[in-house]
Amino acid sequence: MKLAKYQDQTGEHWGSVDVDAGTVHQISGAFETWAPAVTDAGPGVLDFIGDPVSLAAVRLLAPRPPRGEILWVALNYPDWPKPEDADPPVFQKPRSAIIGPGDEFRYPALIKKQTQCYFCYETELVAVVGASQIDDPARGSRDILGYTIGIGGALRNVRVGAVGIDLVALRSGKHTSSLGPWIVTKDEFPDGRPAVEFTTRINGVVTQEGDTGDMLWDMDRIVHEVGHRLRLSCGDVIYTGTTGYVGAPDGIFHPGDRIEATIEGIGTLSNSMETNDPYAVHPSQRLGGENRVPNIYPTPLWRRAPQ
Amino acid sequence: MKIAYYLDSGVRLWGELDLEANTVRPFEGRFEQWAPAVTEAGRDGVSFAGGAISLDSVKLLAPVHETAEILGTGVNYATHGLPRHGADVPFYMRPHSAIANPGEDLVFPDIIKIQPRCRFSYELELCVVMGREVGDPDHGIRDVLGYAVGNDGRLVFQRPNFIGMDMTGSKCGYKGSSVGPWIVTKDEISGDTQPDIEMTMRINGVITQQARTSAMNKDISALIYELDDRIGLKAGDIIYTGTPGYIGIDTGFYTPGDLIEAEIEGIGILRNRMEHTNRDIGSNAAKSSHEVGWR
Repeated sequence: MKLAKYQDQTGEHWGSVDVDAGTVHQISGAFETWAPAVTDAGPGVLDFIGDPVSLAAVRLLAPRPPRGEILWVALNYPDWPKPEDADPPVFQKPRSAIIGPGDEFRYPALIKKQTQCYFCYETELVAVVGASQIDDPARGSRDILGYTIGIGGALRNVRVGAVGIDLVALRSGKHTSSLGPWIVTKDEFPDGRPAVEFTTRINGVVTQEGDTGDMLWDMDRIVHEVGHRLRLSCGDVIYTGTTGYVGAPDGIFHPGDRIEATIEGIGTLSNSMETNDPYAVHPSQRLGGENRVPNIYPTPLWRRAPQ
Repeated sequence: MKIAYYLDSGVRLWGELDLEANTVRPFEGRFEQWAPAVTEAGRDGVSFAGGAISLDSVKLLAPVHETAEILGTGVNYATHGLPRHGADVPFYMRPHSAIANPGEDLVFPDIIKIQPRCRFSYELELCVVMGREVGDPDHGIRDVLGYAVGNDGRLVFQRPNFIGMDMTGSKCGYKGSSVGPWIVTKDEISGDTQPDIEMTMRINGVITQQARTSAMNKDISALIYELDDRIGLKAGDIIYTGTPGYIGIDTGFYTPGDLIEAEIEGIGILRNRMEHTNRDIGSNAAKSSHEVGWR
């Protein structure tokens, strides 16, 4: 079942989307009440209010409750260099970073201060936590409500901070990541873990192609690692990392770009980039226009030999 | 004015705290409405939604607005180390589940189960609560609502991940940190200038950290400047501003049942007890930082 958060004249609601009929049917009760039940017993437990209404008459929002935390796991696909026995790097994003389907991305404010930076897109599978609280992270993906699509905005080439990469700067700018268009409950995927293809299109051209089955740390491992670091609860979302790029140097966002992120079995999330150009010199010129993955992970200062 | 966040008959409310009369009185309107007004005008900025009730009939909560971000600052006092080689100040984030309410027991982090060499320790910090979005980035302190006492739980000897320190693993454990017991508006501390107030940490009555907030390496306006560029601060966001060094001990490891009293002059005392269950299974594995070569 596809679960969407939407806004109509009466306020914000959650509903079940029927894509073929083009309708959404309002779910009764609070997200925190029904989400744990759906996670345990499947979407059959849901109660609905009134009749389905046309999707065209409502505005879809990012499918997460306002209080939930936003986590992301970096470098989860083989395209990124890393040591064999690495632990997944886990980080948080602020709530203000997230926009919904159709909203406009903004360039991070830090570009103006650190002019060597450039801003890129990443299509990611996003897991939504359904259990009211994950007390036993060993349960893995069983406590996941379902999956949705995320476009993670990534600021690259940020100055390295005192204890490693400046992670609050990388993925946190206001309106730099999107989420949606809806959550597909886990019962629609075998074993509750999607192994599906995903693509990114920029202005209609494919620039990322991946398969969520190629993740280095699968959903069970991600819940295990994230769940031991913090107490996950209902409505928290986890961005699970992105793959490499095809035919597009480093996935750089150009002003006015239209981005469509598609994940098989979920749908397509579309957004556009703002039209203001924040760069003095465009990064594609600085990078020599080569199709390459930049060295964004230099040795952290604290690991270098003392001088 | 002292601003408390409290639970009254199952409802979470913000209100004015009067310690002498031992009462709280709820504010009118949503946090996003009164916080900017109080930041601008102090106590004149709020109206009340009811009469004062006894403090004994409510439970104080950590003063964290429900959609606020909680941010931390690394190495900001010379006594605890400063960024080397001129590097930027490190920042990190923390989820709401990591915050214990005033008076509540703290919990050893779950990550000790999968990384048994870790040890858990405390950090005394001044917490800044933002009152509105940043107007003039050079004078961010003007947009501060007030201050609270912070205890920043920190895990040490943790496995770094391959791109740096694992700050999420270190700082985010369930109920490992606390903030409170209330917010004191900035007009009662130092207005729009950097506060110069004394912070004292007592563990079971023994002073283990002591410093003045004027000793910060990057002052509050500088921290707000850096953070606003990174995430865009808004009303309610909380910034832990860094911890001073420890006195007479190595790194301040907790033992089960410890009484933690974090006090900041002009704000109050934030009391928590470490849980009695000994989940600190790393305590026999690593005795000092030199043994694991972490720092």
